[in-house]
Amino acid sequence: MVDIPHSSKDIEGMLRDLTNTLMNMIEKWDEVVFIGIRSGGLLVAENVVRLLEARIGKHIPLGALDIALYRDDLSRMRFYPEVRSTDIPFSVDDKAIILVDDVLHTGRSVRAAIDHIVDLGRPRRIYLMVLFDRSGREFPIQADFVGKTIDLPAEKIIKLEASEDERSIIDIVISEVKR
Amino acid sequence: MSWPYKDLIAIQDLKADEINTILDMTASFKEISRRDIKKVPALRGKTVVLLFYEPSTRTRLSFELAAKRLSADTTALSASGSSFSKGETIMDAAYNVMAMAPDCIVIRYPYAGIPRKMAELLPCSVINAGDGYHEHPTQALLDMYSMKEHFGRIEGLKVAIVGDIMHSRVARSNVYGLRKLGAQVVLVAPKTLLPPGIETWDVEVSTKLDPVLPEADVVMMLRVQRERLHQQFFSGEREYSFFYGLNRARVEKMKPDAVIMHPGPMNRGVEITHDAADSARSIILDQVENGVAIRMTLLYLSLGGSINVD
Amino acid sequence: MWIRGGLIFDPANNTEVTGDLHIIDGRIAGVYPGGSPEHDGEIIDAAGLWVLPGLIDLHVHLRDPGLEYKEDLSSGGRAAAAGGVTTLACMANTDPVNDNPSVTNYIREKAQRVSPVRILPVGAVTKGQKGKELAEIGLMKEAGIVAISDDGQPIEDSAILRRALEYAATFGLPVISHCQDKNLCASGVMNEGTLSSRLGLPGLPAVSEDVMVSRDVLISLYTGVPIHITHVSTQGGIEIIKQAKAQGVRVTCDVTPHHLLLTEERVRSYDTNAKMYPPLRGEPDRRALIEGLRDSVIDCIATDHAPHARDEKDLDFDLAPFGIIGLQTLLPGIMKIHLEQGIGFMKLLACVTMNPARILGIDGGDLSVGSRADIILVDPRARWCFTEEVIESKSKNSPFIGEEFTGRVVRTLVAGETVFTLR
Repeated sequence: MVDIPHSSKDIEGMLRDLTNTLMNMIEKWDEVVFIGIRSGGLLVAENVVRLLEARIGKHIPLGALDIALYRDDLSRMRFYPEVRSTDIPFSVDDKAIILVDDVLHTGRSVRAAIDHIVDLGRPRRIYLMVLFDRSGREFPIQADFVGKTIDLPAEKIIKLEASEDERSIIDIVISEVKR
Repeated sequence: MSWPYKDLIAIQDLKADEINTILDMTASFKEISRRDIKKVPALRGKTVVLLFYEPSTRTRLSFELAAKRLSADTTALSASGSSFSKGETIMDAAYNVMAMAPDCIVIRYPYAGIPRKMAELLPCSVINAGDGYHEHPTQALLDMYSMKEHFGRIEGLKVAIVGDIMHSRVARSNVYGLRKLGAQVVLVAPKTLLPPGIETWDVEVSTKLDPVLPEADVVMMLRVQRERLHQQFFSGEREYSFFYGLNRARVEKMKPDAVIMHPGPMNRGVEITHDAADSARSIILDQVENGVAIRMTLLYLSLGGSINVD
Repeated sequence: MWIRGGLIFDPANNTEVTGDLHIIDGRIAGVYPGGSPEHDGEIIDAAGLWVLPGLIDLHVHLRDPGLEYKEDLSSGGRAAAAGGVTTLACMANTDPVNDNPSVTNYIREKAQRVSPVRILPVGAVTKGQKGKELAEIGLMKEAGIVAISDDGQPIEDSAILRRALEYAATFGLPVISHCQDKNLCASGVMNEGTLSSRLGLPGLPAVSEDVMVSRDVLISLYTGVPIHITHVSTQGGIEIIKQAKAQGVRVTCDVTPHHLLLTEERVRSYDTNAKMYPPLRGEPDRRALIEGLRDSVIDCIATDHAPHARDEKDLDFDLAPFGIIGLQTLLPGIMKIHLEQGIGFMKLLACVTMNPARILGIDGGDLSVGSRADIILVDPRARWCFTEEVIESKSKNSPFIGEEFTGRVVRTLVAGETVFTLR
């Protein structure tokens, strides 16, 4: 079985490790903003930002990105996905964006997210942070910050389970793709 | 949630929760129009044909912008700019357009029933942009969205619709929608402009505007069409505006937080004066902005629902 | 020639007997209840069938001359034969209008040549049906019209109607009146009411018919000249006629099968085959018409057969022309009313035979010895579906396409000659 954390404590540990990596890599926090991809990525981003803010003692801007309208498989779907709001309360121009997703798999979601971000403005650079980096890439995309690298068969999916207040991650669930 | 319809013909066809779904989604689409780059790739490669058999600038522009902001290709054909009116029946025209494989036809037509017929016979999506005195569903949805945006709710609002109810598809669609969502509706007009059978509509009816103003949360003024004057529905613009026009004095009788709406285009000085139309209570321009967002939502839903994987 | 063993209905003599019917030289030579001991010549076996006088339809549009793409005297005549209609009166709104003896002669002569059934022209009341000047009513009578009517173009000017009644009486011609106040109707296309508002279609209010029915009745009363009100569709109209008859006014009227069988609900799908004038009304009106039949306020049932080409009916509901065809659904329609409403068949039969003959002042519509041998054989138990394929008219505009009926015309004889046999 794949080695993934299940307890809140282990997940918290992963998030702390990610935060530490970021602290080591990034020197200037003035122009750093976080953008989480709805909905898993946003949950990860919120948790990391909370830890970071506690460490550095200042506010870090965080936005939510909905990529439904940017997906490349719309014309192949019987029903379009539900659309939720993109809510980015700051300009992305000249920012260093840390784009956050829960799982990096084919790379298509990240491609859609990057397309979406460049429609909003011209950032100085975009980093990619993911909780899990799994095999099965279809696009040439790699993450800058990775919580854990895992190997999973294509028919499996990973999903984060949020607490009732939707603030923290309480479990990581692996299941079969629905046919 | 999957959207069950390929077409939007009438508010009469929608259930309350479906109307709410549309209204709830619309905020996401409205945000796109406020970006610098007002375009998302969602409907890339889709073709939307706008068939307008009646003069309209605003509705056509609104649909066209909505389609373009979702990256669909659009072509507009208006009756004056095409050969459609020369002996060709409307259904011939529809089949001809269909042969060019559009994904969606948006139709404005001077007589009732044709959008419904097209929706039944054509495989593409059909969106009714107003048919005769029947319905104008996208207008009613944008009106309801504007009310919900302003008040945070529809249920329990009291909405006065004032003017030519008889010949208004906007009034009809609004009545059907507002009643489904639990608003109260008061229709205000001289008896000549109230449709037959109105007693079965489940609304209040008043031939006087003044007593309605202090109770209404929304005062929606309808356009007075000058040709009705020649058909003896009322005696003149001066008399009409004296009894049914919204002016400064009447605005002051409205509830403190009530708003003024108008589906446009306005006849300033007839059903509404400058100071009423441009007052702080007017949300007429919000209606226009919301029109694009509502139509983006509807195009997205209608086209999404019709796509088959296999 | 003999028609053997059928159930013979004769509304004129109010008899319903099983027996044989003898025809000599195109006329009825004898009716033999229980059967005749001997037969000679051709024998038609009518066992299990009904033997009826040929139907008489006093309200038909044949579109000839001028609009032959919709219908002509030949196709209309064939449709009538297939529907068991052996005599019909065709309305004057052709192109040119039948307002002078030349047009009347054209119709008479061509009909004799091409039509299997008897076609009797109706002349216009006013020149060009414009409601201004009286047409050549006397000369048209000489040429063979049986009535006058501006059907389709109701006479607005009450003075013209008065003069028309008086002038027609001079020549012994009945006047058939289409009652509609055109100003009240404006651009209406369906019955005015809750449903028209829902559908967004402009309305034709019932009152627009009622006011004209009252006017016509009052002018008839004043002049003492009879008037025939065609295609009554409203409860109000029936009430007015009932009262007038009770007071001795010489008013008669007809209704169409579609107003007896259908209501405005048929318009819901914007089907232009549900668009006709007068429009399909509400259920209370339909009930009033059925009651009017039951208590003999209504004298006749007439089809208002109004053919229109497919491309004309394919327009939007607002723009499509008014009217539907009806010759081939007259008898099955009457059977449906008989079966569903329990109105005696003999009474209904009189409405399409004896009564219209009496109103038009023509022979036919009975099975008395010496009468024309216009006879139809009907299979009263045949269950069948009315489809486009069976329509003999050039136009197929019928709301009854796809409708199941009981009772079907299997053979039609005009003056003893078979003009239609069901294949």
